[in-house]
Order: sequence, then C-alpha cells, then structure tokens
Amino acid sequence: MAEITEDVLVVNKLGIHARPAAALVQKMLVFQSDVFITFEGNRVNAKSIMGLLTLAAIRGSHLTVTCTGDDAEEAMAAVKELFASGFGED
Amino acid sequence: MEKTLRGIGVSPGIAIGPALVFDVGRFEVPEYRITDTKAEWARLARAMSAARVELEELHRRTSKELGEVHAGIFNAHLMLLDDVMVLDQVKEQLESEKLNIECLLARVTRQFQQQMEQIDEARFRERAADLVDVTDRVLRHLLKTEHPDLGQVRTACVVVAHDLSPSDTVSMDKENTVALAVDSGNVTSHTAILARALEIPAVMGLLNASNHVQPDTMMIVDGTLGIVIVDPSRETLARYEAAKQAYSEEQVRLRHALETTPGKTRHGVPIETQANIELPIELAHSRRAGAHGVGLYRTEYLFLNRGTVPTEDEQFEAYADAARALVPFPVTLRTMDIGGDKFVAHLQIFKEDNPQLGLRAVRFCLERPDIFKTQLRAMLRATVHGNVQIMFPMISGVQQMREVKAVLAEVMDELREAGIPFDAKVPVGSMIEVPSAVMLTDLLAKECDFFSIGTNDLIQYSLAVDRVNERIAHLYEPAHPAVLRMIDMTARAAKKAGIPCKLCGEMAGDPLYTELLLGLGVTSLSMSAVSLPVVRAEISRIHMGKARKMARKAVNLATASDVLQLLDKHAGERRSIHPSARDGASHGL
Repeated sequence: MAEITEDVLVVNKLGIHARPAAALVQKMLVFQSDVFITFEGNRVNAKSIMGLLTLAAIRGSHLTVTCTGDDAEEAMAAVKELFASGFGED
Repeated sequence: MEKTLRGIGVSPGIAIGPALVFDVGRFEVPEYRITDTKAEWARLARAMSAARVELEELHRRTSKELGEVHAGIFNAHLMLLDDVMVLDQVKEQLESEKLNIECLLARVTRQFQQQMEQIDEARFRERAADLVDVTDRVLRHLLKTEHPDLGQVRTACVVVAHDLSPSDTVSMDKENTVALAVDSGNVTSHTAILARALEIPAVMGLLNASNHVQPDTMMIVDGTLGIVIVDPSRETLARYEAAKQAYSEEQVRLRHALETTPGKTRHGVPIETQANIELPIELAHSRRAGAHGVGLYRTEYLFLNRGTVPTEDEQFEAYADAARALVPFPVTLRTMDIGGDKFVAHLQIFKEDNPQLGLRAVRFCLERPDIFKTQLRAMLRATVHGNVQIMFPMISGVQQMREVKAVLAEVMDELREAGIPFDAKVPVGSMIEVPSAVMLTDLLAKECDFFSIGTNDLIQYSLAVDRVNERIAHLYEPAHPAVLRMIDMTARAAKKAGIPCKLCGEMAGDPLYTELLLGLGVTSLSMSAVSLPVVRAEISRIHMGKARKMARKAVNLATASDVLQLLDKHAGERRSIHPSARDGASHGL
C-alpha cells in the first residue's frame, strides 16, 4: 500500500471556500485511498467539506497532501490537477 | 388588546386569520451512557437515511416549483449529511466514551460550528449554519421530536415566525397559509420571493412579533402597507374585512376589465404595461395578468441563496425559458445588481461601511469580468429564443456605459468566433437610477436603445434617504418635486433622441402616479404582476392631454404634499381600492 506526500499551492483568488471544497470532496470520494491535508498544524480529511472549510486556506497557502492506499498515485494526481486549475475559478 | 406592528410589506394584499405561531424551538439533547455501540451507530444510520429521503424530496419539490437554481441548497445539505470527518469524529467518540449518539452528534457539530465561527472571512463561514440545519434534522429523527410542519395546516391561518428557513418555506401549505408575518428578513429574502410568487400577502422585518403573538390570536396582515395588526378590535376587524372584500372584488373586476381594456388611454393611445419578475413561476402570473412582456427580469435571484456562481448554461436556460414563454413580447434582462442590500456570501468579499454607495451592480461586474462575461454570454445566447433586451443597472455616466458596452462587444466577438448564434441587434439600455446619469441623459441617450428609470434607487439617491432606516423612512417621498424633475428630464432626453423611456420602480405599480408619469412622458410601466390590473384600469381613464397639463403643473410645485394634493384632486373619479391609499403612497409603496 503506497503512501505519497506532496505540497500543493492554492492559486484561485477566493481560496478553498464552499464550492472548491465541495468539488474536491466529490472528486476524492471516487478514490479508495485516504487523503489528508495538513495546513498550519491542522490535519483534515480531504473527503470532508467541513474539514476543508476549517482550514480557511486563502490564496497563496501551501498545503501538504498525503494519500494512502492502492490508488494513492491516481488520487494525488487528481488533487494536484484540481489545485493547479484553481478549481475552475480565477 | 389591539396592537399594530410595522414591518416591510414584501407581498401586497390583505389577509385576516388566526395566528399559527411557527416555533421551531430548541430541543433538549439528552446525555446518557450506552453499552451497545453497534446498536447506537445503527440508530444514527437510520436517522440519516430518513433525513436523506426528506432532503431529496425537498430538492425535487423546490426544483419543480422554483427552479434548479433554488434547489441547490439541498444538494449542499445532502453532501453535509454524509460528511466523513463529522461522522468519523462521532464514531471515535462513540467508541471511547460510550455515550448516546444524539449527544455526540450535537457535540461534534458544535465543535465544527465554533471552529468555523472563528474564521474571519465570510466565505469560509457560510456552511456552518447549513451544517447545524442538517444536524438538527437528523437529531429530530433520533429524538422523534417532530419538526413543526407547515405542510399540513388544518385551517386557513396567518403564519407567524421568527424566521423561516428555505426548507420551511418550500414545504408550506399554500392553500391554507393566507399570510406571513415574519420577524427577520426583507424584500430580497427567499421567503419574500416565494410569497410574491404565490401571491400571499406578507410582512417581514417585524423584529420580535413572534414573541408577542399567542397562538390563534386574530391577525390582520396588510402586505401592501407593511402593517400587522394583532388582536384587532371589532371596529378595526370590520374595517379590514370591508377593505379585504373591496380589494378582492376590485381584483376580480380589474381582471375582468383587463380583457376589454388592453392598456389604452381613454382615447385609445396604447401604453405598454409590463411585469417585474424574479422567479420562473412568475412568468405564468405575468402572462395571466396580460403583461406586455417583462420590463425587469431581476437576474440576481439566480445568484442568491446558493453557494456557487451559476454556470453559463444554467443562466442561459433561465433566460431562454423566459424569452420563449413571453414571445412575441419582450423580456428585459437586467444584468445582476449584486452588492448593496443584496448580499451574496460567495461573491461579496469585503464588508463595506456603505454598501448602497459601494461596489454593486455594474461596478461589481466591471470588477469581476469573468462573472459579468458569463452572464452576458448567457443573455446573448438567449436572444435567438425570443425577444430579448439587455439593460445595465446603476450606470452613473457615459464612460461607464461605454465600458459595459465594450465588454458586451467583446463577448459578441467571442460568440461569433465560436460560431454560436445570437442577435447582434439586441436592444441595449441603461437604467436611470443615479442622479449623475439623469444630468447626462442627453448624452447617455446616444449610447442607448432605451432608458428605464429605476425609481426606488433614484429616489433613495436623489433624496439621500435610506428607506430601510425607519427613523428617516418618512423622508422617502416619491412625490418629491426633485424626483419629478429627474423623471421629467430623463423623459425629455429620451423623446429628443427618439428612444423609449420606461419606468420600472415601485412608482410604476401605484395607480396614484400613473397619470403623472404618463404626463411626464414615460412610455412604458413595468411593475409587479399583481399591480397590473389596477394600473391598466387607471390608464383607461386617462386623457393624455390633461395628463400632460397636470404633469407640467406638478413639476413646478414646491413640496411633495402640494404634489400629492394635486394628484388627489385629479384622481377624484378614481375609485380607492384601499382604505389608506394616500398613506401607502407617501410611504413609497
């Protein structure tokens, strides 16, 4: 079982508010792997909207993502793609 | 003893009935030890699936009645219901503490809520209230407490509430709910929109009425004047019974008369009368009332009460539906007027000290071209589905009009390149609601295919009166000579340029002003559909020559009361539909 850890950067203007959080959760629910995000000492499940919102991650925040499970690589790729695209926002 | 409460009339009409005090109340969550954690977890699972069924039903119903845009909130609730972190923490504490599931669920929710409330920025906070709403729903199933249900009201009643959530409002029994009296909220609240759409008289912003009203107390709700009378005396009751009777007879009579008087003056001059709408359901109302199309489609309602910006396709569907439903009549789409009193959590980034003078309407749109262009694309795509017009709110000068038109031209180019069909000749107009725009109407007219005077904001800005501030609300005077001169100046400039001068504020729906407005040169009136019959009837009594003479006299009067006196004199033959129409007029209704 693989465990991968990488950093991602919040690039969209409004940060991880309700819509991006919902988008991330919906994407992550597809994967069997556990996905956790750590930011400023706060560690939350990336499959939880409430968890993601409590991070209050604004633009420019560096988040640490850890994926654990058989499809960890695919999950990590999906996380990075979403963050890089700014969740389709600007 | 009789008590009169003043609030904001958000949906017109008079209703009388016993109070149904809708109190969602707080329920006690017990705390006790358990031994069988599996059985406890299974209880939670059952309560959650019951809640899921309810939410799916609410989503289905709202989507059908009010459109998918308004149903979105229940999708968010469904996602929160299954939130993995909330459930993980509940499960963890269940194993370690062996306490009953209600207590743990309430505790975990409270922790999340507290954590969220510490965050400074509103956009991260907005979901906390939704989580509490969802948790309450599950808790009520666990505790078998019934949520008071407005869906099954036995007799006709006036619903009195401190607040009505979207779930409560949507599930309301529309047959037996004769009126609403709500402590919180204002004209833009979800409940207000629904009340207008359903033609139920409603008063909101009553502050603490629900504390003072005992169940089954007799209530009078006057949604036109924004007045609620609790426990009326026999005389008051009789007076309002008569007023209510007169009002409904008048409505019936006017509806009937409508078929024979299609909005023409006494000498057959046709006057365009249109509807202001917000919700899909109102398209049917406006057609039934015989509107010549929609003069104001408030698109911001697509953006309110939801967590995300509506997509281009979502918006296109809404605009195209309206266009198709109204053919051959036009639908005038106003680009979003967001900011000011219409606060949208997911878009509003900064708290402003003075939002009415802040980043709102086209100012906001020019700041956020991404959102603006998406809306314009959707509007342009709708132009091939009917008779569409586009108008921009809060234009304050020529430069700004040119800027928004430049963005529109850009979007047109993009559509052309993409080979997407649209009507390049779509009429484009400016709302006239900022005094600086009035001063420049001769120049602005060259940039516009039409003007539409928004009297609500024009009065507010011209007289420097915030009409929501009750201490100065009496200074909000539609009949103020300065306001009349503004309308006069705009209509003259429009006439000179050969473009229509429409008017879409609340003045348009008040028959007291109809003759004056036509006399000043307004060519088209757009109002809430419920006002159409009475204004149409008024138009049929108007003699244009006399109206023009009266208007000339009015613009030279010194005070609002002088103007009202003149209007009264002229309206001699007009039958009063309301016991205190004069009163209503001076309150800007």
